[in-house]
Amino acid sequence: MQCSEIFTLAKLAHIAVTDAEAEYFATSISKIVQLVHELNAVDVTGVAPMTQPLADVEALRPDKVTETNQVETLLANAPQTAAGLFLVPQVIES
Amino acid sequence: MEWEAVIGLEVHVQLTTESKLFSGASTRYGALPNTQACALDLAMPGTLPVLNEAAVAMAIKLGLAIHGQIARTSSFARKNYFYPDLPKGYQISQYDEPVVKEGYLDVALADGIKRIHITRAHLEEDAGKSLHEDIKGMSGIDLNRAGTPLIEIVSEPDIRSADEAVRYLKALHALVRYLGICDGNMQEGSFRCDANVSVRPKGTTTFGTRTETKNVNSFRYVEKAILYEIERQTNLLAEGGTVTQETRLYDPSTNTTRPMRSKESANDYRYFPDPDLLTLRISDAWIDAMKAELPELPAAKQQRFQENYGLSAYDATVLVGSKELADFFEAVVSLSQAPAKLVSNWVTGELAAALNRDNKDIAESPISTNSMAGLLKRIHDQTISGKIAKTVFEAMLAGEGEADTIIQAKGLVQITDIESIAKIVDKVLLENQAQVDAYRAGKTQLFGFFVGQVMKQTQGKANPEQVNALLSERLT
Amino acid sequence: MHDLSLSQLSLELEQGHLSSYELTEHLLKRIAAHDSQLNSMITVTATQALAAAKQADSLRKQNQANALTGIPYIHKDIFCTQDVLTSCGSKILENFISPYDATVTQQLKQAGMVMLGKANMDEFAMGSSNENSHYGPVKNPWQLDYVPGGSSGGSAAAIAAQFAPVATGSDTGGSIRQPAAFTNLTGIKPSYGRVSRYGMVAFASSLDQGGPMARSAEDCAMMLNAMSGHDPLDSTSLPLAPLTIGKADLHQPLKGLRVGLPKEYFTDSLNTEMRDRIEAAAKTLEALGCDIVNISLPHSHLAVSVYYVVAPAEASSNLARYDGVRYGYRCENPVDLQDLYLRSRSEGFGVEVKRRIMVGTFVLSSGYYDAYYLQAQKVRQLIRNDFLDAFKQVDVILSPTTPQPAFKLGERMADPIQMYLADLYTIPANLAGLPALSAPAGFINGLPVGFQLIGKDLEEAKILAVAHQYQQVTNWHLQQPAFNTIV
Repeated sequence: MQCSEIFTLAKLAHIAVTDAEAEYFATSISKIVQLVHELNAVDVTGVAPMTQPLADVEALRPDKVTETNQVETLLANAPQTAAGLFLVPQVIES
Repeated sequence: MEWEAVIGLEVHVQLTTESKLFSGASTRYGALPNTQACALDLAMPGTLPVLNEAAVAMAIKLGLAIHGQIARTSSFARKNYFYPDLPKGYQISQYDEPVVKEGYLDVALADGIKRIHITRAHLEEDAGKSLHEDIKGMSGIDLNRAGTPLIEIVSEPDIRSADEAVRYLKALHALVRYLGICDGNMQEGSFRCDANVSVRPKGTTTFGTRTETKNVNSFRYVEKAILYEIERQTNLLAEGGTVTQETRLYDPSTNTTRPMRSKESANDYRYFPDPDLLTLRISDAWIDAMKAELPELPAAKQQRFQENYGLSAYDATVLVGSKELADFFEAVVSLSQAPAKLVSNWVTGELAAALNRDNKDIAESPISTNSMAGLLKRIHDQTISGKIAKTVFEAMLAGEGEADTIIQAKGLVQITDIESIAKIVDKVLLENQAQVDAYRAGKTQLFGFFVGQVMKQTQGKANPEQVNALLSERLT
Repeated sequence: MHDLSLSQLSLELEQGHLSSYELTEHLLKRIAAHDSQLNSMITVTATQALAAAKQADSLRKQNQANALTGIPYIHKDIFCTQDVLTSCGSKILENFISPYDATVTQQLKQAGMVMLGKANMDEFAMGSSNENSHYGPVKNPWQLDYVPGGSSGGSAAAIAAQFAPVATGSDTGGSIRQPAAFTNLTGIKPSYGRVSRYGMVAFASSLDQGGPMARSAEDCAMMLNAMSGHDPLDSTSLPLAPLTIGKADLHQPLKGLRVGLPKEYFTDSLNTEMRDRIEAAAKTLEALGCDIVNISLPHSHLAVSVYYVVAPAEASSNLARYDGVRYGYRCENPVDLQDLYLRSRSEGFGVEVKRRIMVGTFVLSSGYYDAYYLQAQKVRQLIRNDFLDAFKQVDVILSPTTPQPAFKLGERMADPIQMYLADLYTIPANLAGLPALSAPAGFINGLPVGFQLIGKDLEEAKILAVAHQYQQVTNWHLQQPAFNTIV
């Protein structure tokens, strides 16, 4: 894996990496990709992908409002708020 | 060269559930910021989604109403991207296993019925809102809307003009309101549309490069945005240029569309099955139960109106355009016992015009079904003429009371006493001898003049049919 | 009194020989005096603990106590606790005070247990040595220059050092069992869906499972009973009543129980001394009436690869929410929104977390999804199928918990792959969703090692019974680190 690919991944993952970090990650992630590459040799004909160990559980919630206004508690952890809103630097376009 | 537009619509329908798609927070519109966002809606660490049964039920109803296939098993996927109004960093949506597949909607066009195919309809969660006013250099994030259930309905690119697009949207809008799964409020964003538009030389079958115009929130804007895109793309291609595949925004102030900068088209959403949610299983029994709950849908209602009330296809179409309007009509027919055609004319005519003038919905009508029936009864039993009825109706709108009260107070009861009318007719003829002579000399178009004079003398209260009959008799 | 087991303490409390307050005070003092050498705790909640102990004592006076009422425990910092820091070992949550309790936290509160504090852990449970914590590495009480294992290293070190009789842990690829093996404890990862994940900060949703760590199988059973049960707030929670594993279950006859030894787990890469310990354990089980059967789990060698596709993929998405907007760390003076995201996440996450986020992003990205993610999900099914086939022949599967005993601090930090291989034997049970425990099997060069028992779906009681009866005829689990005699 090249540093350029690390930069692409980092951009997708919203993580800033320096050139030195990119090189470090390129080396270690290449090794991981080499390791997991062995999966490609496995014959999986007719095998369905397994997303979850649980197959036959159905969980649905009745349509009831169970949450009350908790704005003060929930905003208590926020780095910056005003008028009940979470603040971020200006979003250019929505 | 002649060009043809190819249009597909993606409609986001906000569901009328009490609580959100995956949390127990309220979906009510208009609350103070973040007062209807719970720990899950804020993507607090450790929170987990649990699917709202009612949202699934609504999806099943929609699927049945559009003659779609209801998937016995479907699944939820994560669509990964970063945006401040998307707190988890992913949207829970459905990807390769939507809850509804392959339906259609029949839409009435000027030259007949057109079937618009629907590729899929899937459940997903709405995002929050970024607010840009008031705070200098900052945006405020309100997550009240985050997690509100949506059904996204994706049409096939079957639509060929802005007019067809609007008719399809109106039909879909009526349908979701009939089903009671959406309040249809477009200003509040309950029913939003993205339009995929491309053009190609007429007669060809391959698709041109399309653009997607996002979040157009009124029928009129959809029409204008599509017309603009068709024209823009046609001009581009006609000049030998190419259309760029991109996401665009409609600007109602300039009536144009422009490319969006922030959502790069090269985004890699990395969809994958959401491991927090298991396969959604829908049993036959559940589908049957939803089928039993389905109300009469617009197509069936229109047919019934034509057959039972003898209405024209046009009148029936207009009435079933909204469930509330159709219900209003039926209530007035039943309360007044007046002929359906008369009721239809009044409901789609005077009443609709008055509502339109005040920008009101039938649900907000200042005249109740009872009041409307009261007026129509008096027209039907000839207490007042149609013309006088308009005066009474205006007075009712002005809040002067029920029809009978107004008729009494203003002395508007129609004169049907033949002798009284004959007296006035004779008086008019006597006072206008010159015109009588002219009429008899062949200037028959003066007949209206005499009617007008009689009506003037009776303040419009004379029964027009009797006036006509008497005048004809006396003038020959 | 700190050397007593949970079941012994329960009896002491019940008989009135001891109050929860005394016990709690004593353990808090012990933590205050000695944890500086281990770094096993991120937060000690002394005031709340003493208040909870007092309340537990009064409940006992009113005859409203159960076996766990007043028992102190240590909570892995991955479980949300209302009004107490829940850091998950990360800088990005260094200031996060949860507005709600995890279901497990609630359940233990409901049982009247007394939380002494929150245990150190690898950041977001990503690690096998507890060296990836923002709060510094945890030391193994058995040898202070060795790792305690991870990611539940703080829980393991604390229980081994007798700071409490039991702790909670979470296990995504071995994070309960591997540290249990490295510190001479018993720890169980229940069947997927047995313990609610609500409020347990997500690493890899389809693999994560909370569970107990203690100094005996019996203590694990008591604790697991309280942690289990259906939770309507977790869609992946099994619709089953809480477990009620009691003495009778733990003493169920082992005569004729078929114990499988998978040949793939006993290859040349296995430390020979380790092989000896496991074979000794098998002999002991044989003496208890079990039949030892050789079995095969042919796809075992692929488990680590599957895991390092599936777990990072889910993690890359699960960790997208840490963006410096609504809670947690935000970088100083962001110039714009992108800068806020990028720097908050780069400064807030440690190296291993970033590495896994990028691996996960890679295997899900367009062009690689089918080759890596989808393929891994299919091989995952093959691995589960191996177990289903094996369980036609045997009732439980016996293996080493780890290939080697604990390694030295710093030894594997340079090579992530070497670190990942520490979980070689524990990962398959997570992929398959099966219950698995680790219990002490003896020592190699003075360091404890463990054996692993993997059970059929929902058969926690059976593997706990095997471990419990093993512990009735062996005393490995009773051995204490020198740390405990010095302190």
